[in-house]
Amino acid sequence: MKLKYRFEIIELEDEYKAVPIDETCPCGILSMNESAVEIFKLLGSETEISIVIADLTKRYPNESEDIIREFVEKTLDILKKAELILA
Amino acid sequence: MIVISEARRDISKIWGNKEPDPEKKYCMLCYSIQLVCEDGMLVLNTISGELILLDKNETKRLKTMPALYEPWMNELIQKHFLVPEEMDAVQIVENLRKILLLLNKKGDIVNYTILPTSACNARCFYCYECGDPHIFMTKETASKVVSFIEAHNGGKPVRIRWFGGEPLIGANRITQICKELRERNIKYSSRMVSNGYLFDEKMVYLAAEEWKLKHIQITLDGTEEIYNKVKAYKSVLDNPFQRVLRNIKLLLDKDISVDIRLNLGSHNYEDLMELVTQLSDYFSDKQHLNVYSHLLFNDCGFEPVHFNQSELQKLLSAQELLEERIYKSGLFTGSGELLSLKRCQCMANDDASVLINPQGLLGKCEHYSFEHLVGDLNRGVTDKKQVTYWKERETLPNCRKCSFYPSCLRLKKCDPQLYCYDLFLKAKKKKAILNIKQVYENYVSKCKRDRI
Repeated sequence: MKLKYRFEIIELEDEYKAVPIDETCPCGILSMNESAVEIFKLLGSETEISIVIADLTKRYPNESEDIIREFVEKTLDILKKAELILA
Repeated sequence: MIVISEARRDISKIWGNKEPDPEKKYCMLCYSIQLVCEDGMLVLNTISGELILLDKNETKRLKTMPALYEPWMNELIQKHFLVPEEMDAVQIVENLRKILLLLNKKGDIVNYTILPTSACNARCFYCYECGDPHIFMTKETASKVVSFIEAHNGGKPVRIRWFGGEPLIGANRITQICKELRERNIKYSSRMVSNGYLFDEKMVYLAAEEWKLKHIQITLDGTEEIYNKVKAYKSVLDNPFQRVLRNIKLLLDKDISVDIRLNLGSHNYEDLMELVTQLSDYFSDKQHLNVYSHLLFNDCGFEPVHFNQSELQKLLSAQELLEERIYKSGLFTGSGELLSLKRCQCMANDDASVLINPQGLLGKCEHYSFEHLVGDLNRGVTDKKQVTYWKERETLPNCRKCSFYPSCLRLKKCDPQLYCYDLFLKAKKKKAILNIKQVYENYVSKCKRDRI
């Protein structure tokens, strides 16, 4: 799976904004936190959910894998509902 | 706190509301302009363009900043008037700009500066275009202009600025282009930079009705004798100064707003003071008129002027006095536009803007209508290297701390932008404050009307 459209991620104060670059993208600017940004970056190229979870687990060693899995699945769910994921 | 004028919608959408953090220390956003008034203090956020009124209590509390979070700060924090002490305001400005640029990357061109001719009926000694060839746009090129607009405007209304030379010499091309735009259902409005001499009643009517002229900038170089001498119009039988003043009246009567630009140099600064007095009598009952002064460009024209440092300081001081007289005469009432973040400085770094010269070649700056061109009407913008050349930025040492930083992008290729004097900033602040006052007065009048 990967993102259907290209985004550029720009930091604004303590938030991140994903700005769609493709004209055909149906959504506007997405606001997200640092961990969601990591997921977004990984989804920039073809990847598997297991790789995303493994990457985040490495970045946040103090969080349990279950919590990270839940977060990743929730984020992917939101992105799928917004039709931003190419399965 | 009362919101007098809301933040710009595009910036609000991106920047959003900021949630207060009780752990943080807050201070006033450095990019703001404050104005004490009868009802408290007006504060303009020069990033978002939002104007608020703080009452006397709130104004007093602001004097305690920087301070740890307190609940009274909530709204000010949400609207980015109070920000965390450690916040990098420059980074915010630059990242907001980046986002605005990305969102506008579609490539539609909606702003056109068109030269129907580079010929001029005047011979001002300081004119930076004096070396340009005198070329007249052909009928065929004018039609191509319309085809180009149709192919590039993305279906949106376009804003045209007629430039020259003296654009009125190419009035027939202006009429042709406007007619063809209407035939192709392309919505447009226009502005013009002109010496105003060639207007008459018929042409003013044409300008209002067919060219959809909304605004015009006309230069006056002094009172009658000096003006007529400086302009040195070719083959005239009447008194150009009187004619131009009459034409300005005709334009104002047709609800076309007029900016009178006073070109200031060592040869005329005293005379311009007298001119302002005359203008204030002549146009005492007129609306939509603004008068402002502008220093002559250094080293331009067939008799170029060059100001050394001390001459420049003298002129800047003279300009300050001139501006003071203009304001006191009521000849500058402001544009009513509040400062806010600029995505682009001018057409040079705006992909939505292009210049079309009389030959049908495309440019990015009216000071270079025949040089550093970027394409043509047949192939569009093709020279990416030149486009990048025009966009290169320059920052002066004090730029980042300046409250005008969000609304001022210095471009490397722009000579007048390579310096910034205290007196410039003083004049700029004065204008910003006038605009703030105007917006507030409009708000107060509206409130009174609504109560009735």
